[in-house]
Amino acid sequence: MSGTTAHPRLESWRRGLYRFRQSWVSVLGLVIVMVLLVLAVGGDALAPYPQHVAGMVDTKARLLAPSATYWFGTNELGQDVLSLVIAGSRISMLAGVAVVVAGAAFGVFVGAIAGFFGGWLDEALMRIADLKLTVPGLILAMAVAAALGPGIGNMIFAIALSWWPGYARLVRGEVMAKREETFVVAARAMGAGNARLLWRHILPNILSPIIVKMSLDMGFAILTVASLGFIGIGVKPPTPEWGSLLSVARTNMPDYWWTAIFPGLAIFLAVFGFNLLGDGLRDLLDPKARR
Amino acid sequence: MPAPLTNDEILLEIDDLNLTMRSFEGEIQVLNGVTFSVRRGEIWGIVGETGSGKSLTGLSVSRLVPTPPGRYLRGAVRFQGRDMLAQTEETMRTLRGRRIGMIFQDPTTNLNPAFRIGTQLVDVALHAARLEPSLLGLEAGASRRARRKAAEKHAVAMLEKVGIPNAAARLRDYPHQFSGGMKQRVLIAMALIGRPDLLVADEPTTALDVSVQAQILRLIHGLVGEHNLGVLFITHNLGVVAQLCTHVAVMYAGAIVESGTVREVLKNPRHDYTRGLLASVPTPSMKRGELRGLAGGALAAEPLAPPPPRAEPGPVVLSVENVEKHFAGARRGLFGREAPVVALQDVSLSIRRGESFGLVGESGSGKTTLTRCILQLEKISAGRIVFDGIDLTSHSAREMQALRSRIQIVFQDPYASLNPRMTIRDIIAEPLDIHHGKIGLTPRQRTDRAAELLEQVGLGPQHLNRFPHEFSGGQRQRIGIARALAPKPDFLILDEPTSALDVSVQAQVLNLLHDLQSRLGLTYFFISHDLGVIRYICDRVALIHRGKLVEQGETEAVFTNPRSDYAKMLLAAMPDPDPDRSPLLRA
Repeated sequence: MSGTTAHPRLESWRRGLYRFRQSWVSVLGLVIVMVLLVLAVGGDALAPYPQHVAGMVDTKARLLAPSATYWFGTNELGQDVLSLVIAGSRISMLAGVAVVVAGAAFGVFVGAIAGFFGGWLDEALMRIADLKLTVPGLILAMAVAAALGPGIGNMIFAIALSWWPGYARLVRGEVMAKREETFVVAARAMGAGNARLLWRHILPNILSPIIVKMSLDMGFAILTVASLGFIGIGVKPPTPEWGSLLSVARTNMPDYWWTAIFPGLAIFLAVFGFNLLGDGLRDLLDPKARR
Repeated sequence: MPAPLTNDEILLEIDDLNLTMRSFEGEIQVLNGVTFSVRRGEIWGIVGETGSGKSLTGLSVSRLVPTPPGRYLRGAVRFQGRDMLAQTEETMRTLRGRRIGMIFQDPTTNLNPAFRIGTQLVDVALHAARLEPSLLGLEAGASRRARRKAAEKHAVAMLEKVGIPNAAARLRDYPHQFSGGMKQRVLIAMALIGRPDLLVADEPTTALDVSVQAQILRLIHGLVGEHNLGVLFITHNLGVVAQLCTHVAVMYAGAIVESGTVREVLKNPRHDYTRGLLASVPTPSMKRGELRGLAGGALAAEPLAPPPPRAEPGPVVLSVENVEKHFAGARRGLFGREAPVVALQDVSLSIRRGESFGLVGESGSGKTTLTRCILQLEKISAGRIVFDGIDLTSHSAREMQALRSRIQIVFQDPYASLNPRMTIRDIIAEPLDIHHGKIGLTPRQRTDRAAELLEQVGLGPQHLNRFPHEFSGGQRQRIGIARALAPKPDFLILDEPTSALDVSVQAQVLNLLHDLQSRLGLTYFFISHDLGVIRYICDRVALIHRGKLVEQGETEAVFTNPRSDYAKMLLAAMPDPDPDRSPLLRA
């Protein structure tokens, strides 16, 4: 049995890989994302000076330029910037993933209900989403942080709150289109209930655009997390996070450029990598390219 | 303007054309030594089934096959003596739309919806006139204004020629204001605007109703006589070829297996494949189960299914009584609405247990609305639908649920009607999950039942774990039938189940349906626009036109002795695969 199961799936994976590899930029994106994931998972273990991450201060080695000992130089506390950037990837990636997953989950739920049932329910949900879109995400996040107090959990909640309407709108449109497809009508003629229609027939067929949007959003979510860190909401030092590293280092510019450049570069690479990956995934998952 | 040359000038000569396409699987040869030539005044039909290379042959004429992934290995396409494969792109642009006119299958997607018809026609006319100023009857140095005016006049003349009434006023209309047949006429006018020598038509009537198809065929035939054109007419429909074409080339797997005059080929086919193709088209003289199919590119040795005995039709199982269906009109203004659209008007019919009842109608006639009403996917506005003594319209959703297992449907498009993310096992077993969920089948029983159903439709248990996209159209339609049979229905609605399939596959599916009806005692409600198919499979038939039934009765009676004007018109428009019965060729 397993032989026949493996074959067609493997075949479609191989086709997908073939198409993915046609574009080297998507491969580059995948590589960047993989490296960041490894760093995020490895964290302290991969850092050359894990004691610096834990908060050790080395006054003898303050603000040293990049060298063979300290590849990215050291900061005003004598901590190795490379170690801090590596350790910071964990918080940034985790927060980014959490924001996107939470936002997508809620948005898909709202969008699916609105698109499937239509009518006044659709109107009501979409007006709420519109209302949400009128409040800038960063301002809302600051308001939430002010109300609930700073902290990583509150920060994720605050950003996800401003993230879901995008998914709700995307999913609503896709569900409305799929609802009229023949195979959905066929299932209805068979007597399938609403839950079955949504879960078994409609949602699995709109996964591709959701996955693509999630991977494109990952970069922006990381950027938003960093901006909140930069303005001092969210993760507090000494827990290293790219945004707050940048925030502390901005007083060192321009003489001690390395303390700011490397965390900034990490943010840039993460956004860049996830965007390239998202573009590649879109080509890969586009149903029109499918046979 | 070049004077038409001698009558038998060779317009197009395709000589040993070999084309390969690169894909994931590597290079595949898609054209294999295609050779034929078209003279002025000849209408060449290129027939073949899906993937036979007929469209690529047509596209090669104006070199529209993208290279790569395509690659011409050897051979030549010579148009008026010039090798098209060796011309520059610049030269090709002056030939396309100018010396070679092209018409494609779907008239709705080939006109730009954002521009008026007039703008689009004038554009083409101006482009053609830039290469040949005499086209518009103007001097070379004529002003912009004069050119535009002349181009408009030319466009009106062309629209009149293709039979669009009130052409001058219709120039201001947008494509959506035209019907499908009218749009195809506009596209033909557009193709003719540069006074081409050769017309390449790729399935120009496939998306159209038979009555409109007959008009378009008459139009093309008239234009050939008038302008001494050569025509390459690509189609899968042997009936159309027999009606219109003077010559025919039969393609199979990228090669021409047989070509010659239409009478030679269709009357005395020499090649097995041609014989098989002809034997797959239902004709009036055929008995149930007599259709023969194709096996590996040749005529199947035996008729596909021996005609099995069938029980006499029993009492009435489904009766549709004075059903009306109105759709609310389009919104007008803030509160107003236009008059409601009447989709079904006083429709009454009764279907007996165990018979095949046919419903024939053209697009927009209300046949699909009627099936949706029977399935209770739409609420009817008035009337009753009684199934086996139970009034479906007065039932709650919950009570209807139990009845759904008894009435099942097979859809037209086998590509769209199967969920692409589900395995065949899950697709077929889904009705079981829905209707027998309470019984609780074990996974083993579920698989066994799915396998049993697959075998009933001629597939095997090895297909259970595959996904729909791995199957051909005919196989998918078999899967659709297996799914419909899963809850053990006694009434099956077949909504154009074969119109998306090749004729040889259609023959197999029709015979399968015969076979299943005899073995399972099913009642069929068979909807189609193809009169040949209806005649082959149905005991009784009803004709629907603009939401009203215009005629119903025993199939043979309706076909041999139609009473309504509509039935007479439809029967006359049905393309017969016998060239001797073509009103166009006889003339």
